[in-house]
Amino acid sequence: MLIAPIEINQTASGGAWSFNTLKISGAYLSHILVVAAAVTTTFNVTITDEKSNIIYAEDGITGTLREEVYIPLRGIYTIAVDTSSVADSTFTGRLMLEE
Amino acid sequence: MFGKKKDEITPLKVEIDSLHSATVSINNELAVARANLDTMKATVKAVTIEMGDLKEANVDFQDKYYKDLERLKIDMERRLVEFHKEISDKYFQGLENIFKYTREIQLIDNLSKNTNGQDFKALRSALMQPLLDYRYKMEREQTGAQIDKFVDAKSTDLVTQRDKIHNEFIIVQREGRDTKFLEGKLEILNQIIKGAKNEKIS
Repeated sequence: MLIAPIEINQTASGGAWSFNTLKISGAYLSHILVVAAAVTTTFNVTITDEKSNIIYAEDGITGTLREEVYIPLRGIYTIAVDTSSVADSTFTGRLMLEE
Repeated sequence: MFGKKKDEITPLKVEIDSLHSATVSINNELAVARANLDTMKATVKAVTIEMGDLKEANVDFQDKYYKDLERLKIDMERRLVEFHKEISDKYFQGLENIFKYTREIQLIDNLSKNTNGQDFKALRSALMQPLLDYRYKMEREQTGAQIDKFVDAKSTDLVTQRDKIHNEFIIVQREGRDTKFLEGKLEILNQIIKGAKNEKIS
């Protein structure tokens, strides 16, 4: 089994950020970690597939999202965060894939 | 008889003693007053000397001040004349160059038209090049200033548009379609916004 990370290091513009993963030939998303720079920042996280299906959504997270999942992935996915924070927040973290 | 005289003398003696005492007191007061007077005299003398010094210092200062002022005035006039000369020289030099270039260009232009010679055309291009470069430089500067003004007025629209194109780009890329037609637009808007915020925009 191979473990591959997708690093997150994003700055929100207008309260949101999003980026696409590289094309994944086949893997399982096993761990999601999204950390806002400010512990009081409240945000929503979505992961969307090639057909615009939202395969993962978590709303109203404050500070840090730390969750173990087991979602099969294939193709390009969009990782997106929107926040109600007025200031442009910085986010870090990683998605861990099992291949 | 002596007793009677003695009775008369006694009050006089008392009166004399009293006068003596008063005289001593007055003498003391006089001595104090004299000492005060001496002190005042010394003070007045010191003040007079000091006033004299101040007067001299004031005269010296005024002399120096007027001299410095005069020197500054002369220096300023000299600089103004030099500046005026420099500007005039540059102006006339520029004018002369323009006339010279124009005359040469017209001459070469006429010659090239008459002879159709390639050398003349090349020479004409070479002579025109500085003028063209100057014109292009001015045009670039003017266009740059206009862009700055425009971007300043449209800042909110630019950020909104950038977010819109970014979202479109994300969808198109995710669906595996060609993103080249969006990359240029997104890059331009990112550069403008990144420059404004001076931080990485993703």
